[in-house]
Amino acid sequence: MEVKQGASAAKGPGALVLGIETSCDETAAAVVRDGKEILSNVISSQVDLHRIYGGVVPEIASRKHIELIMPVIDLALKEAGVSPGELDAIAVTYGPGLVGALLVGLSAAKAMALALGCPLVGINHIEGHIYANFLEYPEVDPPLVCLTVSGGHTDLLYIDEYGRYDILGRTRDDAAGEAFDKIARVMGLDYPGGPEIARAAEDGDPEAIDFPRGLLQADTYDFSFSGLKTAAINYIHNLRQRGEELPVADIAASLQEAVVDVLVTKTLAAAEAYGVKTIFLSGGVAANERLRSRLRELAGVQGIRVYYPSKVLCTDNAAMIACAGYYRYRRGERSSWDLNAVPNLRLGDN
Amino acid sequence: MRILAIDTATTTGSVALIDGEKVAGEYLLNIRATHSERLLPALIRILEDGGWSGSDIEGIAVATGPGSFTGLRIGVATAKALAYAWEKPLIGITVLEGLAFQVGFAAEWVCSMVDARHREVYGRLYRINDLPEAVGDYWAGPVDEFLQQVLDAASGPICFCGDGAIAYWDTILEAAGERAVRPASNSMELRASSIALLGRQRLLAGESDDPLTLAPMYLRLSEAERKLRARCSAGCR
Ligand SMILES: [Zn+2]
Repeated sequence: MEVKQGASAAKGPGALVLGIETSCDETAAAVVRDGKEILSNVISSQVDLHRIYGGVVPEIASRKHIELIMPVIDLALKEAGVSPGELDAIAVTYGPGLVGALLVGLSAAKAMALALGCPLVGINHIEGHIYANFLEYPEVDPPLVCLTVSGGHTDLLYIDEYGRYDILGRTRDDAAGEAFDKIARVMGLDYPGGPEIARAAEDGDPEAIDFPRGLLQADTYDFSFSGLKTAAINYIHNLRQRGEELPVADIAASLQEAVVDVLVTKTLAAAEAYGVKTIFLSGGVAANERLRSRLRELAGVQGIRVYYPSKVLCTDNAAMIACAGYYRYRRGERSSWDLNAVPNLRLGDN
Repeated sequence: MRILAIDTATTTGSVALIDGEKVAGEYLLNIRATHSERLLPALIRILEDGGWSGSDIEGIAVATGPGSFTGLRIGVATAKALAYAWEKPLIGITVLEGLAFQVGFAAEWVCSMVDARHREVYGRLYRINDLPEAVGDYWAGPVDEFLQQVLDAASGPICFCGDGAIAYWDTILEAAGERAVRPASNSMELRASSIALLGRQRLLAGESDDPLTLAPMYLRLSEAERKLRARCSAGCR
């Protein structure tokens, strides 16, 4: 469909993409030039709002998004010193995520694109996490193997060129971050659980408890964390029943070690099998120090370089969405105006 | 004054263009497809068919609620972003007032009702004095209790409208008997032109809403908040 207002030709040096991200409990907008220069990256987190519920409440998240979406977009444009009319494209997350939350960002993005007469590019949130690496290391090119881990997903991918994903393996049950969150809750740690476990693990012995490493020996790149979750929860219940004090630090360290062990082993095996010299780590769990250092250490021995985004780009943000959007925009890809939110969108579906 | 209006509060979704008091265009769909899929195509279609571009529009009006929480957010997010990018004034109008305006010729009293399911409604009573004037507060709760309040507050015939009136018409007849006036079926549900015309009145009166902060009118807490409050009033922390 043709849009009457505005022109969609590039308006100045470098393409300016506005990214919008509302898939979970972060309202985010960012302006990125040419997929690599972050002019602004505004993230408004609702984490405090959901803490009393012990997790993200979809309706509360959606209500917060509709309050914050325009102030966040406005701030991103102002911080970037860019007026709406200068934008070349609008990139927005349309899945996976909470449907009501996604719809707020998607609706605002579509209306902005219509009003400004510029293209709309729908982005898969997981693809966004991967592009957080291209954003920070624009000199790095595929082919590469990417491990992307968060509260919602655990995927191991082979990327032979921009925008093409071979899914080598994914979790068969819980995502890694999800297992952390659930166990942290049983241990009585704060929400969100991942960072709390990492903090508690700092003073613990990673070999104190031998937790199961799901599918470690199996001939597959798939993951499974439900066995680990059950074992950890049983271990905690048993100690409590006996009236013993929980060795919180040791449990956290051993738990983290079991997860890191599996993630690192499978990722290195994939890199070797596909003969790549580059590994990307992405997603919220990519902020985990133990995972970062173990992977870098073991990959280094094999002459493989490991890249991971700075912490702010590991969390949900819109700069990574703008970056992924830039590459799709440059390839001439456009989303249609009837684009809908897809809560369980998978990589490769778009 | 040329105004673009949007309604996505219930399963009916519509967009309208008005030029002064004249309805220049109105596009309404009552189908299964989500508002997310059909709102932007509808907007593009009506702007193209009407030969309007963004620079022709002098104001944007949107139905703020009550209604489907998700539907409201789609409409409000769209209207806010359009107003922001086009730099045009924005005005939010409630679904209940829009409905009352739409059937204002049918009776002196109008009771607007939006279906909240499980025999509950969002509603409000209006007295028509050229424009609808609200009598009493917004209601969110059991339809029977609301009808009793409305029958006590109003005198003579009352026109009932909205998808709540469609859903609970038998109950209305039982409670109101001959006082119940039913509008024609194409006036029963909200049309965006009613939102546009009321929006025009407000904008002419110098009122407008902030495109950064306008929020839907839910009339109800989220379920999680309701449960938390119930637990707390039962004595927690
Ligand atoms: Zn994420």
